[in-house]
Amino acid sequence: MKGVRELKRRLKGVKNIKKITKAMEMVAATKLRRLQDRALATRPFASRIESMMQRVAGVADQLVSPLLLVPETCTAEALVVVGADKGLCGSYNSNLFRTLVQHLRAAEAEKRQVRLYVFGRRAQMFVTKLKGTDLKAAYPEAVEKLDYRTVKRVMGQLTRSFEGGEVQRVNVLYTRMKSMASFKPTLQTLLPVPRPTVGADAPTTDYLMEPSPERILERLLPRYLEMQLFAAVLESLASEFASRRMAMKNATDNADGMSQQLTMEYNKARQSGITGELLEIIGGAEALKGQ
Amino acid sequence: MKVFRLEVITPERTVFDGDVQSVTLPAEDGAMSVLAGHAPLVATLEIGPAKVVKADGTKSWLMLGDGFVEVTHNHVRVLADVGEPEDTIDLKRAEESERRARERLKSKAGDLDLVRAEAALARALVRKKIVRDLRPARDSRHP
Repeated sequence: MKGVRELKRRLKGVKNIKKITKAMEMVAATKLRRLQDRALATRPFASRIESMMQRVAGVADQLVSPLLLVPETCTAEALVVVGADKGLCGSYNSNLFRTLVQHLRAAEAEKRQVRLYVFGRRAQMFVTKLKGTDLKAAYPEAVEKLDYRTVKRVMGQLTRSFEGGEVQRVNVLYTRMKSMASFKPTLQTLLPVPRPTVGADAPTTDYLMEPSPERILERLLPRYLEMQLFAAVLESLASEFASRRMAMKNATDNADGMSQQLTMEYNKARQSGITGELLEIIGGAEALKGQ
Repeated sequence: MKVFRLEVITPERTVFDGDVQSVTLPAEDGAMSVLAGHAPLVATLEIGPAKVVKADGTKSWLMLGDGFVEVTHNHVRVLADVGEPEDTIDLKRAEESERRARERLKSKAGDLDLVRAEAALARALVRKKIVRDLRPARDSRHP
């Protein structure tokens, strides 16, 4: 049996760790809640932009925009990776990185160049360590602090390199939140924009389009793209926080179990120590009595 | 006077949602007023001031970044990059950003910065106009 003092030291250590993981769990939960409010606030704008796209599509049969054109060949693609700034969030990072590596391998096999645009310090660290990657831009802003304006700027850059023909495709790799406990790294194509279809809530009345449907579409598309990327960022963040909360909850539970186990061992060790001492005293007293 | 519902939505929040008598918007083709019963319409908007006449007849101003307006059956939705109600506009900050934008325009940086500086300048000027001219003009008429 281990020394009583050693057990006591370990018990204390486990309890301290439990306090930390508990605090981190609570921080993640609060951040998640705040983020959900933020995500909810962006929803009206996103859904209106989408329904407006459908409306314009319903009016103009022949929509022309360079952003809708699918290039014949694809030799270079831009990939936006939305990662995390910190670790300690379960398998969030490793799942994302695995999908990223898979994608890079597939692109290599197809002789397609991939230019990376990376959000999140952890993801940046990972990409810099990978060999043969083309890191175009790493954004120093904390993912949590990203606002619409920053996302808009990044999307503008990407759109220009698509229009300029430097890349023939723009993808985003982010983590989708399937439920509070299930997250899936997801690859989505931003450019070329999938041709808007006339939706189910298509207008029954004719809309006046001012100045013209083409002009409206020309201005709608950038907004639409920005919203897509912004939504990807928010969704990734939600996944990160939920994932961290879960990981920290598990750690807290484990620490609980361990501290129970250790307490029991400690008590046993202490008791057996006391029993041993008693036996010695009694034995000593008996020996004296005999004399 | 007939009213209709006006929503002003930005990517990060809903700035205004309520019944109004009329709204005047900075459309790309020029200022445009919408009253109740307007025909369905989609139009593009520029950076500019929007005038809102609320259901009780009070007037107020908003600074709008560029965006769109969608008019459906007595429901007007304005989607804009930025939307600032007049009471959130700070004259000092507007002047500050005007100065910064002018400096950037003078320094003649890349094309991209130029476009952004122009937009920033336009927004700053609209903010100034609302605080300096439009709001005092209204307040002096209704003391």
